[in-house]
Amino acid sequence: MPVFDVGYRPWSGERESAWRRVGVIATTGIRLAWKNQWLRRMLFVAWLPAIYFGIAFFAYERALEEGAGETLGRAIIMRMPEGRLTVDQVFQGGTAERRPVWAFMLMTLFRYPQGLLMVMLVGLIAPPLISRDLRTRSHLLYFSRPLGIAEYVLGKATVVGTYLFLISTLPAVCLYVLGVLLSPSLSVVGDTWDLPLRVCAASVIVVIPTTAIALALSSLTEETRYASFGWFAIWVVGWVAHSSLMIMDAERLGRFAMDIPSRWTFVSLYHTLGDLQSSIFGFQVEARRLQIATAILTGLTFVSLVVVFRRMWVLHRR
Amino acid sequence: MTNPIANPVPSLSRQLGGAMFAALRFEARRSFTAPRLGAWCLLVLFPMTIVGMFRLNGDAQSTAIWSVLLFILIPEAANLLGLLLWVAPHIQSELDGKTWPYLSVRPYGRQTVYFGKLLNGVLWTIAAGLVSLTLCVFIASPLMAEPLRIWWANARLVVLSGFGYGTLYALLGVIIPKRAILIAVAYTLIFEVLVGMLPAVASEATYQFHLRCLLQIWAGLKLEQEQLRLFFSEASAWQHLAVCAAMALVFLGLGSRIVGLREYSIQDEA
Amino acid sequence: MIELRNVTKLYGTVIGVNDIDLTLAPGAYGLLGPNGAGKTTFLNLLTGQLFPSLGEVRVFGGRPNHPQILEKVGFCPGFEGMYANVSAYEWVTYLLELQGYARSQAKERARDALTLVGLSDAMHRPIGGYSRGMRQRAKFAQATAHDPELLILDEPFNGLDPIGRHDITMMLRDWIRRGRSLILSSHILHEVEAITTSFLLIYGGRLLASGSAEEVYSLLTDVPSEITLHCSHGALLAQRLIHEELVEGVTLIGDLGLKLATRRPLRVYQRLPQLCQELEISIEEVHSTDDSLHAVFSTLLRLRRGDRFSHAASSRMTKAVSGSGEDR
Repeated sequence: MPVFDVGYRPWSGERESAWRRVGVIATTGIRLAWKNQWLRRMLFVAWLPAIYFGIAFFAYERALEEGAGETLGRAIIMRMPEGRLTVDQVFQGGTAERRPVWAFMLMTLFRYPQGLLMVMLVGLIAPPLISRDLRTRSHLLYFSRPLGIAEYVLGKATVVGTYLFLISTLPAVCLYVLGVLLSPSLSVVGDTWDLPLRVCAASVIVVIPTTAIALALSSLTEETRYASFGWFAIWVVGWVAHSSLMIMDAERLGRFAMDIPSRWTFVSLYHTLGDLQSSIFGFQVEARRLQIATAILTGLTFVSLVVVFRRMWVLHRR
Repeated sequence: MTNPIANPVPSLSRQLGGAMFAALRFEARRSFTAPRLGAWCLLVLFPMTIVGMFRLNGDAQSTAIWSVLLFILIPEAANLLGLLLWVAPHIQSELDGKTWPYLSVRPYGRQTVYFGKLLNGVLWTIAAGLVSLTLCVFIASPLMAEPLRIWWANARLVVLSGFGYGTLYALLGVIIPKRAILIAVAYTLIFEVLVGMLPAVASEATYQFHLRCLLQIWAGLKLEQEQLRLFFSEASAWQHLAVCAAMALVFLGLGSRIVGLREYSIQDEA
Repeated sequence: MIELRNVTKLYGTVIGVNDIDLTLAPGAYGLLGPNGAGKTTFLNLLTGQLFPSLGEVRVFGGRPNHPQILEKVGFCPGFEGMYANVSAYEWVTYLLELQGYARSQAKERARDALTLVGLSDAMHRPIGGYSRGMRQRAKFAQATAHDPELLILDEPFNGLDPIGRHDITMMLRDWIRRGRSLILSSHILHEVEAITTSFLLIYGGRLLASGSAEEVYSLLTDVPSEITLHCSHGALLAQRLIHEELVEGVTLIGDLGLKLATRRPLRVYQRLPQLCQELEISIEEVHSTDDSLHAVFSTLLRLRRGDRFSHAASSRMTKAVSGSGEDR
């Protein structure tokens, strides 16, 4: 018998594919995160805005049947964030169109309540994903298996992506289905079939860079609280910077900040994502802003992934 | 080990006072590290960057706008970030590092560590705020009509914000230590921002409301539009200061009581 | 010194300690139990880190987390948890200041305590650069620097090399010789035996027995030892051993395994080689359960389950277990 026989080596079966290992890491992470009662509470709360918007859909569809669609549509839109900026764009030629109203309500759900919840959710589950492995040295256990860094990172990213899907994509798609069910006929699907796809596309735009940034922060420290702080600081600093710059612009133009288009979205990750989401949902965004937003998000995603991989590679080598 | 000193432990008041000061001194020395200084510098630079951009634009603004802007950037945003980093997780850091049992088996150990760490975090935050404010006013002074008034109004608000929010975040940190930062952010967003900006009685229960009113009084902001008056009150500055002090004392008292009564686990959570 | 009245500690639905009723006079005690027995929970209840779900804990007549009680207690937790960028001297001085000493006194005491544990040369170096043994010494120094009346140590020998264990043992013996009290937890009997002769045996959150070393070992007398064998003809060997009345009972494990219960283990060992020759049996493996802690716990648990022993052994064990609420 060989001196260093560790038992499993004589096994000659076939290993599962690498994707299976990604799935194992992901399902374990999802199950561990699920034990957190704050996460369960947040998932419950995440569906409440969808109920509110569902009521708005219902009211709008009733008004359409009774011929007051445009008036009600304008009233609904005007009360939503950025409604004043988009109401004319949505109701071009004064004709109430179902599709732009639906698109606007879905986008608003996505950007505002779900956007805030997304920040909180990622701040809850992402910081310990890698930092806890570092603190407890369990990354050594991971990499003593035939597991690559990419599989490890992808598995961790899937945990975040899954919960983001649950709080943003799923409520939005369910809201769309609710809108279809509340409309007078199924022909509405013909006009709005692309909206679920746009919801999915907007989800991808949100999930990829935010997950990459969150994992990068988590990989940089063994202390979960620093990763958590870094995550929230990015959003707070961006939002405050954007708001401050908008106040100055508004003061200079003698108008309210809410009524002028922003030329500072690039300083805030939230507003950068908002530009791309608006474009995906079919609303006009200045081409230059779109280019800048795309470049920023691509750059952030790339840099974050480099940070994560580099960090894991350095630790793996040790 | 011989102990020639008879009855070495002094009276309770000296014990508590000395222990608190010892905790503050120890934490201050221990926290003087490169990463902490780096974070401190970032907190100082963040408002300066924004103000620098306005300076480059060259737009002269009224005292009111500069006061409001600096209030948002420093006593609100920068201070809150500093407290989030250095105060909210103060118990969490001891639990994560498994140093808590050594501290909590000392007479009044929990309370003295609570006060020491809180004061250390607040002093770091206020220092960053004051330095940043001074530099911001210096940078933007050519565009300001009353730079000294703006500085003085916001400097006092930096101190009030540091102590008030510091005691609040410390309280949240002892109630839910393992999620201190998340809870502090959620509390700030829901109560201090959303509820605090309501033109309603509920907003007067928030610390931000009183800071805002003090800004209006100290910076001499004129509320010409009727709608704006709904966001402020007619109470005097001393009344607002009294409320701020009372709130801070309540948070402090509650926090020190809770830290003495609660069990804290040093095990890692799932 | 210490009183626990029907103390239970629950972590949700998990029982940490279960209905412990115990009074301890000043002295030195070893708290023995396997991993997960409830030792750390027990000690944390004594130091006020945890509060009982049911019952009451009294240390020196007061609540464990009362400041006046904490002045008399020194605690050495089972894990490290020290600040890496701080020297042992600064750390112990700080903890003494939290204890209530003036800075100058705290410095002097810290220096004395660290010298006593053999860290005089290293006390000004950051703790992050210490070896495991040095950290244990630093922990011991912080627990004893304020000269407490009761020292509580949770697994102080964990991770130490033999020299480190020896040094800690000597320090603890010296502590006891000075008339101070001590509660020391471990899952290794001989480590505790080297320091104290009074034991508290805990398992599954329950206090199974308390007493001196003699009383613990007396539980083993008249209690059958277990010997496990792997051999070529287990049934044949078993038959012969029963016939010669060398064993109390035999359990066959598969075709090749035997578990013997015998009151005369030495005689069995002497006879085995002869039997192997006579019966042409080959024995591949022989081992006996450790006749220290494991055997004690097994015995006590079997008693709790109501297994039958000789009358003398039963009454001794019953007395030991039911006497767990009395002062030893």
